[in-house]
Amino acid sequence: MEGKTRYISGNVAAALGAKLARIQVAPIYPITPATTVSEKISDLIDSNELQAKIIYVESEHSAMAACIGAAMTGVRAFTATSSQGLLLMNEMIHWAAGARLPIVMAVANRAICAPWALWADHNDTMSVKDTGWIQLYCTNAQEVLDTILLAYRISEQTLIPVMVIYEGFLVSHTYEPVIVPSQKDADKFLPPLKPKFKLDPKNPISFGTIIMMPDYAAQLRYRQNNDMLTVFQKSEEAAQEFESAFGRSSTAIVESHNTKTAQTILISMGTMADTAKEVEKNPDIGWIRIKMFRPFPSRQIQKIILDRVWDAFSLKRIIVLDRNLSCGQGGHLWQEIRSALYDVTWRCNPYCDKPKIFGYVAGLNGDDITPATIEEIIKHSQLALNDERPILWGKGGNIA
Amino acid sequence: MKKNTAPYLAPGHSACVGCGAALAMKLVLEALGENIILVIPACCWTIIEGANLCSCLPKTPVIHTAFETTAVVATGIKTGLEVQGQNEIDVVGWAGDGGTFDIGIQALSSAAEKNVDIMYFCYDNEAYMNTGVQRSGATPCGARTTTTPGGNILWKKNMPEIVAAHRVPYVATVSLAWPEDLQEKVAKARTIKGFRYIQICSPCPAGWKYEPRYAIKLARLAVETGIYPVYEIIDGKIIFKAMKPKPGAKLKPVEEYLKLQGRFRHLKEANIEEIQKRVVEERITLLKKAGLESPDFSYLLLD
Repeated sequence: MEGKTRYISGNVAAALGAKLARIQVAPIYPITPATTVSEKISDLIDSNELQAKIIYVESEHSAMAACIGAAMTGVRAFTATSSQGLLLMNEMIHWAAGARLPIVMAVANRAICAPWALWADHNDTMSVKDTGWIQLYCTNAQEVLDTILLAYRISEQTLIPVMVIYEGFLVSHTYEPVIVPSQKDADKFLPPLKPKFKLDPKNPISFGTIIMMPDYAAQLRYRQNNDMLTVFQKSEEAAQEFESAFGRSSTAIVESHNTKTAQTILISMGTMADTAKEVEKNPDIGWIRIKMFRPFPSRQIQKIILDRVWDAFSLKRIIVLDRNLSCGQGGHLWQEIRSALYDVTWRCNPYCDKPKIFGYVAGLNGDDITPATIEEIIKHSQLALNDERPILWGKGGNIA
Repeated sequence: MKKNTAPYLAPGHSACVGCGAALAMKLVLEALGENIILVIPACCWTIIEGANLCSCLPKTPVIHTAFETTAVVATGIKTGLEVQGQNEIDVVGWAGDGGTFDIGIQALSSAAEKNVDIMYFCYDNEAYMNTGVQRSGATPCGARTTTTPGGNILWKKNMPEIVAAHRVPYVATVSLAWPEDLQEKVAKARTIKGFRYIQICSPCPAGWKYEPRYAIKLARLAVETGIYPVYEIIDGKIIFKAMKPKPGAKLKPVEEYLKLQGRFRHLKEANIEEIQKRVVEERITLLKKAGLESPDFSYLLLD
């Protein structure tokens, strides 16, 4: 196992991950803050470190369409985008998933306009959570690089495209020491792509023809769903393989710490989870980080929450931190956690209430979340009674 | 592998009787031969190829894609083939006029500007026919559609010259009434490297409202009246080969073409005169660009 530690940004890590995955076609279109991914890929190709072709497209919509065309010929396609670009792509994002193409895309999160916004939040990727893509939320540059490799492996085994997601600027432009594995190790982990079907004049097949039988169309969609459910197992296997190939671990689905005895459990994603880790040194606070948002790991979360030393009543509250807001309904992660924990058997003392699940929305458009912010939120939750509405957090506390 | 002896266009397609687009596909595929990949966006051909996993194109690999993406999906495929060293396969876009003149022009312009090595066919039936005859940028002046119930007041977009302005090596317009010319141009385009654009005047019985037996007659009249000129633009130069205007030859009156179609039935004499005038003006402009203005300039005009 070889690897070199380099001082790079999250975007460069994404490009190096793509290079180690030996991508063959990269349609690119610039958008802040994902642009430097495309710049780095251009450099790698220019210096012959990467044998791939760039397609200069005129929009993100076309970037994904070009990925689809390239992937149909059986090559590895890659692109990167953010925010408005991701929204413009929407139609083709659905298309790639429906066509069952193993495309990997890096997404550097950025808030959505209007008004013009540059900084990170998860509203852009949350708006495409139901497109049939796997969504993996990373916390730092190392994880971005590792996750690109994991993503191609999982994607090619399940024929489901993957978004490797990390917050703009906070991860995309922050320079950190990153272990860059050798190409040899990467090749061992990720074998060359061997597609079962592709566009080939020697074996003419029509792809994507119209289906007039509703039951058949439904069956295709159900199969897509069922294959999505195999992603948990494939991801765990991939993480194991990752460890044996590179000699270090990388999170596949969820991470947790100190959840067996804590009175309060914090659940979050992305860089907020890294910040929350600072607070978790307090023995009363447990910590869960969700990396995989689609498919949503309800079972894994239930298992972590219910696996306690004492009975469930020792768990007073769950705090879900969301860097996104579905107006009129609260944070997306909060909704998923409430839904995942709705039908668990809380083995509670009958005289005690089951734990409350508070949904805090914070950090929109890059609003800074520090350990102090999280301490304040925990304090606020200790006095809060009502967990039925999302709590919109800003400077000075609940600003709803 | 066994030789594929199937026809290029198999029986059982679901085009209307008298559809120009079905015949156009047959002629083009025959001229292109094997070793191509076809890209079809949302258009009548999404339906014509056949539903429920039955394809009427047994010799040709096809990918169906979103409305506005023909040129860029073709670019993606071409690039994917190139990185695998399969340079001899021609990637062919096949879109309607809505997918070319309107929603697909952004991706088309991008591919043309970069001179991507693909072929792009637009079968131009002059409106959104698959959705039930709505106006497009290709709809001719005067034509009634469901969204221009009083008749379209705008002149047709000059797509061949717009594409040619990207400095692509080959642009052509063709007519189903001259199948040899059509196939010659397709075969010639196949030998050229770079972005190639061929626009086919493709009569549509449902949208143009004509008796199916008049499909070819209308395709011919469209050329003979000067409404749908057939020419090539090679490296920016407009060239007339078939149907070359000859001194002494006259254009047929546009009325002969218009009166056979229900979409023009509401036009009054004054409207037809206006259209006639504009067709002649457009014709003069085009022939000037082709360097055919003198010395027999007068022959272009009607009596």
